[in-house]
Amino acid sequence: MTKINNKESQALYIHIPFCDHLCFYCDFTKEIYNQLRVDEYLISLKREIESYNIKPKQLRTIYIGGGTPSSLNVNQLETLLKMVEPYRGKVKEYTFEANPESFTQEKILLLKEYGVNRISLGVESSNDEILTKINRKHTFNDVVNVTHLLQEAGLNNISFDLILGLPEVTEKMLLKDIDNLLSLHPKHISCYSLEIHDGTVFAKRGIKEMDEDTAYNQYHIVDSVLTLCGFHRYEVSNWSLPHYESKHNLTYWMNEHYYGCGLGASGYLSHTRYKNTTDMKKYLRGEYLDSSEDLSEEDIKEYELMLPLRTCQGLNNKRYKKVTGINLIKTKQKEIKEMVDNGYLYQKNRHNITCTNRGLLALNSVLLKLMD
Amino acid sequence: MALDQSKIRNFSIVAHIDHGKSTLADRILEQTGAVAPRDMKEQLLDTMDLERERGITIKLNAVTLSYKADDGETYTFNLIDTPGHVDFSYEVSRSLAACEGALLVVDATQGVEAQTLANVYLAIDNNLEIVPVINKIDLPSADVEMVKHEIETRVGIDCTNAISVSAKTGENVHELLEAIVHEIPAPQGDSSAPLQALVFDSYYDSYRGAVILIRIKEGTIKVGDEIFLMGSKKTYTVTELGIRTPNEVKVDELCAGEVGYLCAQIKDVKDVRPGETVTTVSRPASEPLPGYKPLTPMVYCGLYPVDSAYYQPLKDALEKLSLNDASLVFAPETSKALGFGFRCGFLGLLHMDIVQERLEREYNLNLILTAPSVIYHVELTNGKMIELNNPSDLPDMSSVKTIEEPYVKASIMTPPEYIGPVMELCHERRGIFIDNQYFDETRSVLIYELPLNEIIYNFFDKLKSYTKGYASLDYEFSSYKPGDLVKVDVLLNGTSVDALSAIVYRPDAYHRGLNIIRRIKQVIPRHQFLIPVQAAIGGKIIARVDIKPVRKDVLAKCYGGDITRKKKLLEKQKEGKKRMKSIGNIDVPQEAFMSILAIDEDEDDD
Repeated sequence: MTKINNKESQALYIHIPFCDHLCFYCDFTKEIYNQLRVDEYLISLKREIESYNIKPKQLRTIYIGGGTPSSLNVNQLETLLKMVEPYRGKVKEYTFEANPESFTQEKILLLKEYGVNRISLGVESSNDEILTKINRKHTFNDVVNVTHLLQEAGLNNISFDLILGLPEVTEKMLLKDIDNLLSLHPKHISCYSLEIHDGTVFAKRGIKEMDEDTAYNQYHIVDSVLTLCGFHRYEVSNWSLPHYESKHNLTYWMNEHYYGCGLGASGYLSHTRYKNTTDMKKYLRGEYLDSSEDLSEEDIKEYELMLPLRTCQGLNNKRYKKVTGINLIKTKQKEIKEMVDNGYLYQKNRHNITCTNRGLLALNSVLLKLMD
Repeated sequence: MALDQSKIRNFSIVAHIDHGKSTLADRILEQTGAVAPRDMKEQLLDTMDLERERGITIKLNAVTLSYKADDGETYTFNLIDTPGHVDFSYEVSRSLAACEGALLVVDATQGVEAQTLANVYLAIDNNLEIVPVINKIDLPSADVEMVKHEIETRVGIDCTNAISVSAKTGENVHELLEAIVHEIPAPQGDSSAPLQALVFDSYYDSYRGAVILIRIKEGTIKVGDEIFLMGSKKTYTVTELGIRTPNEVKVDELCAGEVGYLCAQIKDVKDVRPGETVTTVSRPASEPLPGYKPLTPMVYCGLYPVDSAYYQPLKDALEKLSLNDASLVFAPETSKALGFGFRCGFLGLLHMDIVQERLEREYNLNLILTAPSVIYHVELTNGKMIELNNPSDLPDMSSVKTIEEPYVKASIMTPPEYIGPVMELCHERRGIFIDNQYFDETRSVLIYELPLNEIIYNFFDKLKSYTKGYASLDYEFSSYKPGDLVKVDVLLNGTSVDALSAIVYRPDAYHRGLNIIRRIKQVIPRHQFLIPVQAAIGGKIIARVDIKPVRKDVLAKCYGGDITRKKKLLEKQKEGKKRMKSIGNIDVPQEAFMSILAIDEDEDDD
C-alpha cells in the first residue's frame, strides 16, 4: 500500500487543560486554573513541542485549544505565544480558543501581536438563564463586548460554538440563538448536539441526549437559516462563509498528519496515531505519551472512509484507491446507488461521492454500508 | 484393594435455587480436605462458566471425598450434584438413582418451595434416606423452628434430627458430615456378583473418547475388562478407571457401592447414554438396571446460524450437546427467511436459554432463535392429523378442522393473600381450575390446567409480579385440548416472514399482533428507508407500525482525540450488524424473533 501523505505534518494542536470553572457537560481533559501549576505546565509543554524538531516553515496551521486557553494570565499567555513563535513562518491559520468572560483587551492585543488570526469563542447559548444552568460564567452581553473588542483589534475571523439539545431549549429559542449569533457577524459557526459523558454533572443528573428526530430537526433549522445567510455546511457540525472553513480542522477530516501537544492531546504522524497522558503529574515529569497505535491497512481504510465523508468535499475515489488499493465506487456500486436513490449520498462525478445533508446526519448508517 | 462397602456413603443434595446448595457442597469439599482452601473457587462443582455466572447448576457432577469421622474410621463420600430447576428434573432423577441418601437443604429464611417438593418426592420414590438440613442460620431472619415445622407438615419428614447449618460460615458443617455417616445407609451391593454399573453422566474427551460416570450397583469392574453395554449392545475394553476427588485419580478397579469414571475408547457417546447399564462380556448380568424415563421436550424453536456457512458447525455442536442431554432433540428445517437450520425441542424455556448460550459460548456460534412454540395437533378437513411444532407450517385455515394444543397441570404455591390475583391471572390465561389446597396458614397450592402456550408467554414473570415474588410454579404435561386458535403472520416491508409467525388464541389475536409488531419496531434498527411492519391474520392486515428512516446517528464532534474513539464505535456497530440476519434488505436482530413473547407495552403509536 502506498503512503499518500508522507509529507511532514503541517498542523500543530496545543492543548491548554485549564479552566476557571467546570461546565456541567464537558469531558475534556482539564482542571481548575492554578497559577503555579500553569507555570510548571508551560515549561513541560515547551519541552514537548521542542522534542518534535518542527522546522520553521513546516507548519500551515496552529490551533491552541482547551480547556480554556484564555484563562491564562497575560504573562503566561506571552510565554505560550513565544514558544510557538519559531514555527510561525508559513502559518496561514492560527486559531486561539477563548471563553468570553476571561478575554480582555490586553490579551486580545497580545494575541494579535503574535500573529493569531482566528478566534474560536465558546458561546454555547445566547440565553443567560440557560448559560447559568450549564455552569457557564458569561452572559450573552459578554459575548457582544468581546466580539466588538476583537473586531476593533482587527481580528475579524471569529467562530462561535453553539450547543444543540441543552435541556429546556426549544426550537424557538434555538432560532433566537442563531439570530443573536448572526447579528455579531461571525465568519464561522460550529453546532454540536449535546453528548452526555460518564462522570459529568449532566450524566449524574440523568440528563438525556436529544432523541434522533429532535436532533434532526434542530440541525435542519440551523442549516436552513445559516444557508439563507450565505453560510455553507462544510462538515457535519460546521458552517462558514466562503473561504472561512477551518483549515486546521480540515486536516483531521482529510486524514492528514498533525502534531498534538499538551496534556491528553492526540496526534497522527506517519501511520501512527498517538495520545498523550491525561495524568498531569506524569506530564510534568515529561512522560508525555500514553499510547500509540500503528495503523493497519484495515485501519487506514476505515479512516479514509469515515473522515472525508464528514465533509462537503466527500470521498475522492482516486485518493482512496491510491491509499488503499480499492476502487470503492466500483466495489460498492450497488450500495452507493441505493443510497443515492434514498437521498443519503450524491455522486458528483466518476471519482467522488459526497453525503447529502441527510447523509451527513445519518453518516454511521452510510459508513456501515460502505464498510466490509 | 476393594473398599469396605460399609464405609461408603453415596448422596446428593436436593435444594431449591438460591437455597445454598452449591455453597454447602463447596463447604463439604473444603471440610473433608478434598480441596485445599487456597484452591477454593466459589461453587466448585459448577464447572461450566454459565453455571457460575448464573449461580445455578445445569449439569450434574460427581466427586469422591474422604472423611475421617469422629468414630476414628475413614469414610468415602460420593457427592453427586443435582440441578435445582424444574426444567432439569430429568437430571435430578439420574443422580438420585446413583445414591442411597439425599440432603434436603432448605433456606431457614425461605422455607420449602414447590420445586423442592418435586425433587424430594423423586428422592423418596427412589427409596433414598432424606437428611433435612436447614441452611443460612447465620441470617438474622432465619427461623429454624418454623422451617422444621414446615418440612414436617409439608414434606412429611421427621425433623427431630435435622441439622441447622450455615454453609456460608461453615457453622455445624462438621455435625452434618457426621449425620451423613450415621443417617445415610451404606450401599448393599455384592462385589462378587455379575457386574451391573449404572451410567449417570458422560462427556467427551478428545484423547480418551467418552468418559462415563458410573455407579457400581453389583459386582466389580477392572481395567482390561471387556464390557458390554446392555442398552446399545456394544462391546468395549476398559482402558482407564478412576475417581474424581475432584481431580481425577486412576484406580485399578471399582467395586459394588463405588462411584467413579470409566474410559474405554468409546468414540461415539451415543452408545453410552445416561441410564445405560454396563456389565462384563465374560459374566454378564441377567438383566439391565432400570434406566430413566427421558423427558419429552415441551417447547420447540428454530435455531439458525446467522451466517448460513455455519450450518454444519451448528449441526456438530447440537450433536455433541445432545449426547449427554437426552432431552435436547433436533431435526433439520428450512425457513424462507432464515435459510437452513434446526427445529429443536427443549424441556422448558430455561433449558432453551441454556442450550443457546452453550452453543454460542462453547462452540462460538452466532445464532438466531425463533420464538418458542409448543406442538399442536392439527386435524385437517380430509381427516388427516398432523403434528405441528412450527407455526409457519400451519396449512390454510380452510383445510383445518381443529387445532389442539397441549395443556399442563400447573401447581402454583402462593401465600393465601395472593390467591385472588393468581386466580385472575390463570383465568386470563385460559386456565381451568382444578383444586385449591391449603398447606398451612402461609401457603396454598392452586392447581390449574393451563395451555402450555400461555405459560411460555410471560406467565412466570407475571405470576412473580402478582405475588411480590412469593409464588412458585411447577408443571407437567396433562393433555391436548381443542382451542380457538389462529395464526398471526408478520410482514416486513410487505413481505411475510415465516420465522415471525405465531399461533395465538383468536380473541387475543389483534392485541397480540399489535404487541408483536410494536416490539419488532423497537428492536429493528432504523434503516435508510421506511419499513412498514404489519400483522396479518389469514392474509388480512390487522395492524401496522412504521420504522422510520434513520435521521441522525452521527456523533457531531470529531477532532483530534475523537477520531480513534469514533472509529472504535463504528467497528462495534459493524460487529453488531454482523450479528443480525439479513432478510430481504432488512437487518433483523435476534431479539426480533422473540417479539412474539413481547409483554404488553404502552407505546405511543404513530
